[in-house]
Amino acid sequence: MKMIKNKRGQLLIYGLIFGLVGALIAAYLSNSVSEKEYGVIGESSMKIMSAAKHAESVLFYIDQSAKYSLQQSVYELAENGGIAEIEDTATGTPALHECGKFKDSYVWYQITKTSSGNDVKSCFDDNSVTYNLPYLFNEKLNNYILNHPENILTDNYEYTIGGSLKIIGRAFQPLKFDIFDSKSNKDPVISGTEKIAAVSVPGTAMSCVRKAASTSSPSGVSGAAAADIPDAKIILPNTKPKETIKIETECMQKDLKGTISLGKDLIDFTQTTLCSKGDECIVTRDAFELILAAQELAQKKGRSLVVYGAYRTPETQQALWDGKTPERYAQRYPDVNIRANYVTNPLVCKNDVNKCSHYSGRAIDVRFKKPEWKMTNQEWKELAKVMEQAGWVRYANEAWHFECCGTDKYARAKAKGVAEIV
Amino acid sequence: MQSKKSQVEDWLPYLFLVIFVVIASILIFFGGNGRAIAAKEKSDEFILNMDSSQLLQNFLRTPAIENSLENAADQLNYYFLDDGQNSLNAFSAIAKPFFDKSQLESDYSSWSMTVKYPGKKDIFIESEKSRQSQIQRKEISKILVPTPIPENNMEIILFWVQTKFVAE
Repeated sequence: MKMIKNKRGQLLIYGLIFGLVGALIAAYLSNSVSEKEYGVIGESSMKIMSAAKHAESVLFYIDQSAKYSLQQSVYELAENGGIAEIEDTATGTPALHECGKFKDSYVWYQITKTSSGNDVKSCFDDNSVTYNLPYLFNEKLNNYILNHPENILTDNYEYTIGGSLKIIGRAFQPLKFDIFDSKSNKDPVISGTEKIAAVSVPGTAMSCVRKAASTSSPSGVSGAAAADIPDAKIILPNTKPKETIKIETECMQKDLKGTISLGKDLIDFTQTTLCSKGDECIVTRDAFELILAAQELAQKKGRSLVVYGAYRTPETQQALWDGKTPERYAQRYPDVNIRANYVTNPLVCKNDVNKCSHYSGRAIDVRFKKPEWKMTNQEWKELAKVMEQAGWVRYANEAWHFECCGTDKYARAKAKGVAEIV
Repeated sequence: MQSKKSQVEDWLPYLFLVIFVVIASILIFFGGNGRAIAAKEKSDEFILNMDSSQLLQNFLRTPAIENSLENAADQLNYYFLDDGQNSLNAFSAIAKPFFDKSQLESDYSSWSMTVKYPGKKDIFIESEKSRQSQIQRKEISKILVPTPIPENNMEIILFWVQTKFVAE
């Protein structure tokens, strides 16, 4: 064997050794210091399966809550003589029982003395249970849903009553779970762009897709399986009539922390501190920026805003009008003229889209965040001032309704130089 | 002919190289092995959590009486509503055979359960084996269960219990 005898050769071999040692140390350091996306092989799959399991436990909670809600609703309905009054917070008009109460009990038959004798009026319909029961049931179920730590949408089911007091709920929107970040109620602040992942499981959907009311599938209360539709659609008639925006998982990016960009011009900030728990909050980007501005102003005054009504699809409006929501307007008020006092006819919106500003994603219902729902007159005034300073215009008939960014009311108010308009 | 000392000096670099390669091989082997063990432990723990989560849900959905709409969760709620010992006994009577037949029960493991209800004392249910030969316990699943009072959710926690070896 030939030895390396000269100094140059020895230098080479020592260099090789130190080089190897250096390379190993560098490899070790880079491996241990750099942050890995997943700790072990298969961790991402584990996270997806964990999210699915978590979703199953939420479905169990909803199922069990539905059971207790139904028992309580039947009890209360029987106690109230089969009548449940609607509290219509959207219009601010309570839809009271037409014959009122006598000694704290609802009146079934009203006999009024008139000059020509007695006027008899029947105020009870045997079929009213078909709309009173789902309404009460939905109220009770909402209470349960709001008490769950997860942000589950309220008023999210279309109910069908089956034989022997069986209620089946079909979800309008799927339940959503963030697989890689379980923290809910995030502060919506501007940050970098980052893609989010999505999967769906039977009965729920953990995805960034969105479904319109008309494409609803059974889930939740009924416990039935539902497959998610990855290319669900949102229609925006106000911006571009009849245009359909296709929302795909790839296009949905979290470019505002805690918020999801729905492509084009819509921002979904549901499950952030700015959106009321259980509600869905979608607005246009320009409106969202004004909400952030208003929040900043409110916070300077020691207040915090919470949005509880924003973008509404024409399908949702149609479902409200057709009696497919728990309020069952169509069944309660078969006369369309009376019904129009409580809910806007979608035909009106079709003919004049400005009448339904929520379609645009540039109208919001907002209030100050506080433990109790009721706000004092002083607080409403304070809210109006904050919103006005941020650039919003208030609808004069509703203290909570504000519009911005080129809606009909906004344009008229700006033209007149006022901050509130009818 | 070279002296012995110079012969050793000639071989020295190779000696260093061999020592280094041996040490590096040992480190890489044990390092990799350690990671594999950690990954396996993590995956075993995950599988146990997943299975126990499903097990707990299945248990809570178990009918209290055959063909009845009332399930184990309802029995527990009845207990908290009226503090009736019969409801608690009925709940235990469903829980024990259910979990005793589950994969949590083995020669060296068993189960126990804690129920937390706001404003009431926690309930602790455990298998006979857990009671007699528990070494340590680990939380494996937790579920939130509604009660007839919407503001009060109860929490049920399932534990995996390591026991002394008792052949089945």
